[in-house]
Amino acid sequence: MSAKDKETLRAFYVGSRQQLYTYAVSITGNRESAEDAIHSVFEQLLRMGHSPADLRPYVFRSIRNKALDCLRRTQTRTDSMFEVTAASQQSESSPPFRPDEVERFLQTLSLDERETIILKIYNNFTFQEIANLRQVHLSTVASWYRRGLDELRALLNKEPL
Amino acid sequence: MNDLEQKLRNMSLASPSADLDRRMNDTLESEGAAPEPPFRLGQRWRFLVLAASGVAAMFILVQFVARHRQQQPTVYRIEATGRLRQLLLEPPSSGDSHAPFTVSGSTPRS
Repeated sequence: MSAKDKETLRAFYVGSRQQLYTYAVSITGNRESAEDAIHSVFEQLLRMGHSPADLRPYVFRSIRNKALDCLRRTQTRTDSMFEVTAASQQSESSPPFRPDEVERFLQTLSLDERETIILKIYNNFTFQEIANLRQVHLSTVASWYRRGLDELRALLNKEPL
Repeated sequence: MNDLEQKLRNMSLASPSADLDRRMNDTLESEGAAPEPPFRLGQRWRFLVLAASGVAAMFILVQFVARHRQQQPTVYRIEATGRLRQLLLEPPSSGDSHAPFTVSGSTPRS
């Protein structure tokens, strides 16, 4: 791989590491597996010898595939994609939602709904970009998103936080 | 963006570990450890295929030439002298007086 392509990959990783990690953990439910999936995808890119033109969707798609493989192998979700600190669980200085509760509610959604919410809210994907990534129709993605948010809202409103 | 989306967006996310950053750095830094680019592997494969095709073509050509040589009739020229020459140049007019002249036998070995 040329030095320029390597630099492109490095810049992409540095700029997107948080998003890639959040997305991978949201699928694997395991931080270690998520990191392995990310590392593995970049190794694969280096082996390809060139940086793909559509780098962002390519990397997200590859990480999705790797993360799903990890999930199929382990079948256990132990880690949260949110930062769970002692401070975040205290009532006064805590954010509006408790991370562990949101994590638990997100897990009750379907994988499609959860993934769409993560990509839209935390990775700033548009519906069209998600539709391209998942190779489904735009309206399907919009439907997953709205249904997922509605379910999440109902769950969050039902349980006192 | 509605209130729920905004609240979700404001939540603190877990960050990748320093170990991942180190691994990624090592991977993106490494020059020699990286496997050969596919195009070089492709070139090598093309060269091997070409060489194998050349050897196969040469083998077929040699076989063809050898077989072609075997199929060509071998012509022996024998200089006849004496009685045989006379018989050949001036065959008898009547077939009854002499038996038909035939030559048979195996080819001489050199």
